[in-house]
Amino acid sequence: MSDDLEKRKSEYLLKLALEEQLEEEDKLCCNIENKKNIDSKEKMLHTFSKRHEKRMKRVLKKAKKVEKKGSYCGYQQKYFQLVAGVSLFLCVGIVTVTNVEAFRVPILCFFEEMKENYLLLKIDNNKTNIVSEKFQSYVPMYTPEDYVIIDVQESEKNFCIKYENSKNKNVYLYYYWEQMGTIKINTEGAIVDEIELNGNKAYIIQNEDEIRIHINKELERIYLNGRLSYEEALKVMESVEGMK
Amino acid sequence: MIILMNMIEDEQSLSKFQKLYNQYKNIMYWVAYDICKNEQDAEDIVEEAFIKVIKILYKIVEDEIDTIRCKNLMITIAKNTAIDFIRKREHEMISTEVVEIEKENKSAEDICIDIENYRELVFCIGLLEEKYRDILRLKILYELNSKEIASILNISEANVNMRFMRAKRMLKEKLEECKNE
Repeated sequence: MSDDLEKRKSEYLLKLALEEQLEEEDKLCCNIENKKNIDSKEKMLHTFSKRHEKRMKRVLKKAKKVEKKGSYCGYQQKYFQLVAGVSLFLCVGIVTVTNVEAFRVPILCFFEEMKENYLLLKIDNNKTNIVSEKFQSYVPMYTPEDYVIIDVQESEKNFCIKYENSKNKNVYLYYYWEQMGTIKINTEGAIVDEIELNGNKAYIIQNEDEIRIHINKELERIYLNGRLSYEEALKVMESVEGMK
Repeated sequence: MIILMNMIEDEQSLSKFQKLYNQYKNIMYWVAYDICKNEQDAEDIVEEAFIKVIKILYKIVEDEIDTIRCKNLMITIAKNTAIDFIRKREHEMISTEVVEIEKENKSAEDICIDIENYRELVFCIGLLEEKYRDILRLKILYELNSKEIASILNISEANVNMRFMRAKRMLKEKLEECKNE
């Protein structure tokens, strides 16, 4: 038998021997007491003083804290073990699933679809690639403060961008048409203004806190509609490179 | 649900110390009284002993509170606390404890025990001096570390280790004597 195993065996036997000797000692004491007919002091109850009881209350409180801490640590340890177990299971699951093509392809398609349909676009004045290349010069370079793009819709000959104020939730829409015929604009109860922007005629219609701006360049048209200040709306329309 | 069950279980285990106190306060009191011969001092010793018990509370299993092993541990703690109490009262410096020095500079010898020698071993443990028996029980039976044992016996850690080595050596010597007889 190896030395290590021999050592462990000896230690175990020693432990058993100590336990057995302890029990024999206890039996011997009980036998002696019985023979001498002595009432074991163990059985004689001592009435502790109030001073002692009061001091022991403090000790008991301290012990409760220690026990609670111990049990909390034990509980915490179990919690961490559970979390570790679940994390391991998820990791193994993800690795397994992504390695199997039958699972991987549909999952990737799902996330792609989600990205296309629901992704919130951030403002970036330098990027106009929210639309296809042919329309990029017609995307406004200026966006008012706190406004973000929340939707972009594009077809073959036009596109629309929806902006929302992240603080007060005001919305305005920007449109571009490659070819737009004559249209009629309802100006009832509104203030109408006609100016020149970037060398093009611009019609500004204001009705309470809503503003509409139409700008034509030959057959092309850009249009802004929504809740925006006059000055900000003009800045947006002036920043369209394609209409300069 | 599992988390809730665990929390309920923890609520029940909070009374472990209370159970220990209720079970052994009386016997510990009489052990202390036998040494100090004074009621109030004996009560103070019991209090001090239970403060020491808090430090090793994690070692005591609630289901084993009624066992002889636990009883012996509590008695050992009470006895040594009482001895230390008397020493302090009589202004004895604790550093005057006998520092046990091993003459030979050897590491602790391991006792090789066979099953055939088991009965002799039990007998020899009973022949050991009380202090060596206590240290063996505290170290091997209750699996306390040197720091905890030092706190219970009111000696230094170095002395704990030395006493343990000496206890094992003496046990080994007694075992060899038994074999030769």
